[in-house]
Amino acid sequence: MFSENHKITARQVQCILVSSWIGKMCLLLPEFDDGTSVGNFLLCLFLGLAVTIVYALLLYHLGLRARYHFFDLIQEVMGTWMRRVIGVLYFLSLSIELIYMVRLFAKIVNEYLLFDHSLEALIVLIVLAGIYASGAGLEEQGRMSEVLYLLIVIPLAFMSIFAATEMTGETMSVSHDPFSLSIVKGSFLIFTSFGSISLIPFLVPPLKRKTGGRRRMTAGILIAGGGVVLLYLIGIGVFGEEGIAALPWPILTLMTNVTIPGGFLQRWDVVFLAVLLMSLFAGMGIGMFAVRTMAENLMECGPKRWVCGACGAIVLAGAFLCGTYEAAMRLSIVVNGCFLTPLLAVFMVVLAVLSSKKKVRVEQCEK
Amino acid sequence: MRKIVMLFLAAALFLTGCTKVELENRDFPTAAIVLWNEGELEVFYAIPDLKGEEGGEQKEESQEAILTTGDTMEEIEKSFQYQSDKYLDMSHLKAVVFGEELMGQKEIFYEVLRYFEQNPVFARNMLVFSCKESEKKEILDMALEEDTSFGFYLENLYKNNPDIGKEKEITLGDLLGSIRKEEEIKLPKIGKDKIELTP
Repeated sequence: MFSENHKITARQVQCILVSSWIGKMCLLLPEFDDGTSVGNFLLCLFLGLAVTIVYALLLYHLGLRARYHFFDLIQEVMGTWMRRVIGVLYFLSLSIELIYMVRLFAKIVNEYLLFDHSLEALIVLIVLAGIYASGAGLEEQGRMSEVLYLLIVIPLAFMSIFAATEMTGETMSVSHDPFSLSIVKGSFLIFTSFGSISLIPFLVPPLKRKTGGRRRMTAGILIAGGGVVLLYLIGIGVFGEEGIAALPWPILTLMTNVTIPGGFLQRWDVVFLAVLLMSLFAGMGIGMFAVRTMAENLMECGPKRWVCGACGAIVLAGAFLCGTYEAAMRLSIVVNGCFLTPLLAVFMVVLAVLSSKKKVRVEQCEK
Repeated sequence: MRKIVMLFLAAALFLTGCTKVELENRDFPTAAIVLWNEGELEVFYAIPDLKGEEGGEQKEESQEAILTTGDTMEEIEKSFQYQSDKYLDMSHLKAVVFGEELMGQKEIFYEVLRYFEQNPVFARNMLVFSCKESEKKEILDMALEEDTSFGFYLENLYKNNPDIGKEKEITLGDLLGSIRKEEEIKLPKIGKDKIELTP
């Protein structure tokens, strides 16, 4: 009934990006608010989004140059060794992000839903779910994201509308500090929270039709990032500047504040939390799939079932070694944010320059 | 392979129960009365106790108010748990009543509010009221004599009163917001003779 031609549509790319980002970003947001004023934090959000879109366009452009697989382009332009180095960087970056998401998922479920359950059991379960989801091909990932996209976006939109009715005008005034390096740091952290954006050049070659891909990709970034900005603004309107800074998970507390008329349910936060968890699950699925792809590329082998399990075991070991959610978050922010993501960005820029020069040389030769 | 996975998931779902502590082994307080008495916190949890008569058609609902004292809310919650044979599940708490003397002890009161704010089990749209510590006995009698549990009773006072309505409710979120903005807020008062819903 469904094709297995390893092709996805531009719409599925948008769905993959939104469904895998929005949950993680909503929950990661408080970590970026490093004592900065709300006005400055909003500026960081906008600047971070702008940098992400520019970088995404560069990655999309690189993806267009690749005929079948992005690693083939890297090999062609930079050689085998660089392909392996970049492959290792991708593998490490995606694994660390997955370790963080596993710990985040387990912590949220343990604190908000299943208080009396073992955190370790939750970690094992989400990794198993990720392994199962990663066993599917890219087209199945796309189909799953398409299904989850509306299930995530529509309830969150409803939640935003009803949460916005609790806003008060007095709390909407925001303070701002003079421009400083903390804004640059904050914008950079926002940019790194779009961790799996580095997968974009891998998603471009399998696109059925390249037209509309750039637009859909940009729409995905704007919907995910814009949604988070909107929820944060609503949070300021409801809790005020001091209130939102005092909360460990402002978006989750916002959900407990939502009252939907009709009295059908007293509390809707569990429903909206389930939606966020679906987003985390989608992120886990696509993340595990990507880690598996990187591992198969490094081992230079085709798709193998045991690779899913091995990658899952690595992520599980990493999650347990971290010990706490805070350690996993620090690992993600420091290693991914300060080292791996900037290094990958540099390599992508170098690749773009080298591949442009190569293209110009080829065109000159042809003339 | 997929059939085995589906079988495993179905077994995990249907053969393990919803949670470690089943519903019938939980206490669901619907209201909490937090007072300040002789230098420590005094908390009453109004817990509906649903009993079914064997072979009977009707279930009787009775109330009980459990008193626990301590220096902090966390200590009180743990202390209650150690003494009770049931798990204290606060997810259905509808209303909190704060004593006026407690509200006068700013530091202690803010600690209590922080406990309610930071703990995700409490909804921010929970109703808040105030009362006098000296009228504790009369308020507890009022809480226990009603047919419905105290938390539902307080909630229904707004919901089913068209002259007042849900718009006049003061919630935990409203209280926290006012304190942050350093604004004065008057909570609906529960007295020994009546409840003032619109202060």
